[in-house]
Amino acid sequence: MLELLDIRKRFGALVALDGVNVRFSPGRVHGLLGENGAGKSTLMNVAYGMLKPDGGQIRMNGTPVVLRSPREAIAKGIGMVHQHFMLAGAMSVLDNVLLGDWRATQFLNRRRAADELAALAERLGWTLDPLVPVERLSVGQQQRVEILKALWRDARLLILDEPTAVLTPPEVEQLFGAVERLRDEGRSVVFISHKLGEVKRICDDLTVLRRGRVVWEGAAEDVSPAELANHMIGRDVETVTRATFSRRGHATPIPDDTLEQARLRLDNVTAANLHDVSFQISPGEILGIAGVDGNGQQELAAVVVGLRPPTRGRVLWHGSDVTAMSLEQRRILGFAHIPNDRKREALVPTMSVTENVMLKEYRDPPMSRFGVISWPKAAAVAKHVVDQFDVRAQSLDVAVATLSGGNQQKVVLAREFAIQPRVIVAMNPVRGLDVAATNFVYEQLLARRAAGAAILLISSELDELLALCDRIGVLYAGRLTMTNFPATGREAIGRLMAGIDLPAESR
Amino acid sequence: MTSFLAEGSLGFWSVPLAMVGQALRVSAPYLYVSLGETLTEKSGRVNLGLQGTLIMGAMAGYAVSSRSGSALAGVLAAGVVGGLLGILHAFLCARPKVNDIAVGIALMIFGVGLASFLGRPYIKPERVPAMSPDISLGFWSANETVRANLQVNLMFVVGVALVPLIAWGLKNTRWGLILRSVGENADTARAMGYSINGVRLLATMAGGVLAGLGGAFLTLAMQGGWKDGLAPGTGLMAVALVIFARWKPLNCLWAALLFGGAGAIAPALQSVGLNEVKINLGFTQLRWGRYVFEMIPYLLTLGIMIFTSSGSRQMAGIPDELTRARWL
Amino acid sequence: MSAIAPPAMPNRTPGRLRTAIMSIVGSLGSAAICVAITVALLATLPATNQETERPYSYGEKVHLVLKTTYDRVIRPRSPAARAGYRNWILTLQSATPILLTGLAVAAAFRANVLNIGTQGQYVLGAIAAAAIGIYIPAARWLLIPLLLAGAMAAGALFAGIAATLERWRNVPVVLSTLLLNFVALEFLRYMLQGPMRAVGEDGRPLDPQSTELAEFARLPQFFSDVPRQGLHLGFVIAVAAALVLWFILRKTTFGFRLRVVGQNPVAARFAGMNAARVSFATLALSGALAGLAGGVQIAGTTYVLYPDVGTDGLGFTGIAVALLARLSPIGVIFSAIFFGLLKTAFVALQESPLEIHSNAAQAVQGLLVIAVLIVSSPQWRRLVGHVMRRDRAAAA
Repeated sequence: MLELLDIRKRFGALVALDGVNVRFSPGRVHGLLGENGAGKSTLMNVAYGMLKPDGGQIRMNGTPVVLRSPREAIAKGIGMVHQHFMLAGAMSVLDNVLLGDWRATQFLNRRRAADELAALAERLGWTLDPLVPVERLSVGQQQRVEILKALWRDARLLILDEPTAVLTPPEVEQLFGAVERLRDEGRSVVFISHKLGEVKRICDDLTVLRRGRVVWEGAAEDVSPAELANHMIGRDVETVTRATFSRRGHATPIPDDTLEQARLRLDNVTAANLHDVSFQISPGEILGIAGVDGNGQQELAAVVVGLRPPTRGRVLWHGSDVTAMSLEQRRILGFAHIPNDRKREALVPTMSVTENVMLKEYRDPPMSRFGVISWPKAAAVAKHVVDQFDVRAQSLDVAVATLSGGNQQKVVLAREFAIQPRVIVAMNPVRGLDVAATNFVYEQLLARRAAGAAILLISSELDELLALCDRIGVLYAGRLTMTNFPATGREAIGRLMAGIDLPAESR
Repeated sequence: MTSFLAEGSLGFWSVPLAMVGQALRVSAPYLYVSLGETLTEKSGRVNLGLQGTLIMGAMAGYAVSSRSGSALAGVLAAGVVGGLLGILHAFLCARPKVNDIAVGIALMIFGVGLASFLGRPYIKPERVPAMSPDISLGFWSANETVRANLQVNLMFVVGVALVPLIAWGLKNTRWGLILRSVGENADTARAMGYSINGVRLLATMAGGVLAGLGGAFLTLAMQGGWKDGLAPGTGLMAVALVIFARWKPLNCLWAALLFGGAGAIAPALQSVGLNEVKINLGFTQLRWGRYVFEMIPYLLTLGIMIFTSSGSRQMAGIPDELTRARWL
Repeated sequence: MSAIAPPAMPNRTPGRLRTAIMSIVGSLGSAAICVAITVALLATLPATNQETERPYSYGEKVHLVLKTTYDRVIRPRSPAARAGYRNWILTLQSATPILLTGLAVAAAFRANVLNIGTQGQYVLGAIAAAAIGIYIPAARWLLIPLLLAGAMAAGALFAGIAATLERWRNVPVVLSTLLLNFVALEFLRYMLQGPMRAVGEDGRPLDPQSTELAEFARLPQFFSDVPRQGLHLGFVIAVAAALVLWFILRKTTFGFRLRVVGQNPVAARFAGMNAARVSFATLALSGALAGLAGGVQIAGTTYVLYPDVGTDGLGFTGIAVALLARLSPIGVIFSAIFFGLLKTAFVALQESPLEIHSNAAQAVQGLLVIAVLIVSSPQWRRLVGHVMRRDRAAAA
């Protein structure tokens, strides 16, 4: 029903889409695969009218159309569920749904609309109270609101952008059930993902994008996940696999008395959204924390680095209690932090590279003495660490916002790793980075591990943890369950992430 | 009660009565401006320049009605001028990296200055045509004072009627829905295909129109003339009342009445002979007079803010985009 | 904050001088454009030549505006008179308080603390200065420092109320500082009506204003011995304050914290900074500067506390001054002097045959800030950069 022909799009020097051809048919689920930055989202934003292509043609049922805005796309029966939900939290489910309804009359008949919405949800096997504010719903339920929003406008083509990234495995099953029902109604569904197993399961047709080009297309049943992976990544770039990274240059730590002393330990830590969390990490070890976002990860990181005092429990390092120490005091002991949200939490995007590098050490000589900053010395320090981490920037005086995501993260690493950290807390450190930058970050983490740092790696990407970590624990609803990884496999960890199979005492 | 009031001398009852009367008389500008600002802020913008808009509306309303001889023409002119200033604000704010508060203050200074400059020929003692009929809410009473106090202007009635209309419209119309969504989450609205700047332009313009009308009330109904330094701070206060009213139109009405009524405390107390309160501290005696009473509305507003806020939560009802932009 | 794009940090690379020159040329250029527009607009106002009873032509009016401005504002006035350079002294005198309130706003806005209560803090500073100057029997050499310190403390404490309310109850600074302006005004009226009202020799209260400051409580002045006619020490203090604030923002760790908190409070917290404490301190600093403005105005210019101090709007003007300077402390010196020039110019124009009333000055001030907001937006700069590059290419 929708054809995208020879679509081209550039962002400055970057060619995002280089003559892409895709055809979506009614009654089929079409998978769109590719690495971060392969052009999946750009292509779909073109299809949804959010981006204007530089070249190419969009055809709907054979006739060329021009989509100048999402509104026109919506009017033509295209709906999109964004990876980051487009919902107004304080407004009710009904308001959010009605908002996208361009046919609604000026004066809304709310009662009738609420009934119709509940009926629509029921058709997909869901129950939803239309009058509840969206912010009170779980992530999975919010996604349903997004899908209902599109269906309310009778979307014939539904684009789902990385729909499973935020869901637990059981929620994924329910989503797939709904997708199948939509397909059976004769709608066409576009399923964007980089998770091969899921794509293989739910999709009928597949298109693989790499660097803005279609590198493979065909029926899902004709291809194996391994082949798909090859298509996605290509042979020119080293991939993140267990073979490349796992346990490189690392001897499994042998617990003895001295080592016991050297560990980072959390004893029965309780804080907002965290219940009775205990673990220990030895020097030279990466402990992975798996879990769907919002299960206490932020709070756990905050407690370890000293951003938030626990209401109960202790944080011990080298046998001494650091619970009461501030973030700065812990930093002197060698605590480093790579926060979850680069631009919001780790950097001041409007300030220069130098200023971002000195963000934590600005009080210490040589950067400042007696409260007075020496800019030449600060610049020298910044230059030194930035060169070490291969940050590509025009100069150290440009705003960090002008750098690419990979270079921004390198600035963070340069600052955090310059102190030769002994404890590292990293949360989703490669989110949104391209393959090269991802590999760089992984290499740096492994280098710190080899140098004897105790690393806490919190990630919502299970594959990342499986590749990098020595041990893995799962955080669900604020409770930590340690696994016997690697004896515990991927599926078992996935079930724990969904809150299934938890030991009785942690429910 | 009626018979008691009918007796002529009202005694201490004249204080609350005067406050009610004052509230009905002077709250309209606060009401119009705060309703306008509610619309603007619901869309995720803050227009601190409504003081300037109010004064420009006051000047334009008076100038046009005294030239044309028609009060209605003056009111309309005030609305148009207010709308234009609203458009100017929206246009400036739509540019990247420009701060709403900065634009608002610039427009406030500009508006007040321009009104004072352009209005110079109109500082005349002459009366304009009576703007609109006064409506008596005191018809039930035989008491002169009561009736005199309960005269309200048609524009005030219109303003009060706007309150449920706006509240209902925000909730139950498509425009209201779009407006709220732009203020709650601009990305959402953008993904739905609405123009964020377009919606905010309309909202700021509507806010400007209402503020301009409030200005017309100042010169045409309340003061009966234009002068420099008219209503200093009324517009600013009304903007503050929106926060106080938690972005709810109905609360705006209560806030405007409360604030208007509280302004009558000092003169009313004086009229019953209470000129000052003496507080003996032993070593010295404080004599609190009129000016201390006049602080009451502001301190009251602040006090209610303090008691209804919490140190740990963000304010209830605040449009999310305002929090995100860190205006408030 | 994104008030206006904060001025790019000066380069420490060889391009630094050029950037500085460019920014100065740029601001002078936009100021010149604004002045030209203002003159062009003013000349559209109708005016009649009293002698010929004919309306002036447009060219004549432009000439008149420029000539009046030059004669009465720019050109030193009759050096023979005891008060030589009167025009400039008047200009700098009116620039002094708004320079300080402008600095107060610049400091606060840099940290994204939206202090719009500089008017109230200014009034409190003025009250404190007058109270100390009139009632404290301190030694002569001590009185003036004491008076200025008292003014700063009063401003800081008054701003501290808003800061406390924000920390304690999350009351928005915009709201609390705004309300406190009105409280300050009524407090001033109360003081002048009651405790501080001047009393005549017969013991009966005089006009609602305070007694005059003793001579030794007044700020020393230069260029003239006639009271209120010379350039008083306040201007020097204000310029020094600008330099100090520049130093604080640019060179100290506190200033660094302040800017980080202003640009990204979350990152500040993740870096171990106490954003709430920085905001608190900034608001107090801002209040102190605004209070100092009030003290300097009383001890340097008026010598007496009177009701107009509450309504002169010098605190509010500080916001415009700071925005015009795009929140740069050094820029505030120039924008304050520019506003001072405007004021003297409009006083002169009012007395010229054109009879342009001086309250047009305020409209022009607002217009200037609007112009700067437009000019400083990235779109505009990109456009200008584009045009300049094209010209250079054409020239080559």
